[in-house]
Amino acid sequence: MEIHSTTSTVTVVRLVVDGRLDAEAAPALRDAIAAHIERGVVNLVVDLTSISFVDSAGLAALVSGMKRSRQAGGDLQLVRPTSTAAFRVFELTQFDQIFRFVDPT
Amino acid sequence: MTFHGRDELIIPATPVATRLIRPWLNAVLDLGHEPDPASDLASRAELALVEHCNNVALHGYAGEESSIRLVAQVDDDGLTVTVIDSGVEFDPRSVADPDEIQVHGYGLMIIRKLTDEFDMSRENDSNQWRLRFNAPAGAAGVDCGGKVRNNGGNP
Repeated sequence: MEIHSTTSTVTVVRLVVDGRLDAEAAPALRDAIAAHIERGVVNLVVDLTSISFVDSAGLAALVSGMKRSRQAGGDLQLVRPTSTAAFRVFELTQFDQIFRFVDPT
Repeated sequence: MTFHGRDELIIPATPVATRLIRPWLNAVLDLGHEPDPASDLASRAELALVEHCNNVALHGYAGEESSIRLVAQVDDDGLTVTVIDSGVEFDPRSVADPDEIQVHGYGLMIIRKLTDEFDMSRENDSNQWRLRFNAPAGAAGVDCGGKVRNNGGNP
């Protein structure tokens, strides 16, 4: 038996978002996520810790990014918002069961 | 954007204008900076109204420059907001909730889940949407002045 050991480094980009993630702000986040994936960075963490509001347009930017990153072999994970109100849209749409949430670092 | 007293708000039908909804709700419900039992009611109403106004802008007006009028009425049991627009007539019952993962199409689902009543009537070429939000049971009642009071669990 031969054992081969290799080391690989997975690049993870962390995007920290604050304020409101609504229809006004969502296009900028969607474009930022898309730009990273197009450059080959398919593992992303979007840190929503300090976000105060998320609506379905903001959610759409995250879902779009998650789908694109998973299709490219990666994933888009989230740091859960501290605000209960900001997390509400994930619960109402059950995307709290679809996104993978990670601890803040 | 225009404030007509604290019970009425007229905003352009644009995404950025929906950011005026929360401060208006805070004024309607007389919310201060301290933790308040009405804050959850305001958060529910904010999300539903933002979703609704975005739907009106996108589908009712199809991106055309126009305005949306919101009228609030606070009573002993919660909050009713009537939203008036002059966009095309639309029956929300014609749209089913998404049954699989998709990027868009959750607005109406969110509104339905956040409101206790959600209905529309067509009057004078305008859509009049009524969104009703009951205050959380056992947590609050609403004084005539609009301030939600905490019953503290006492009878």
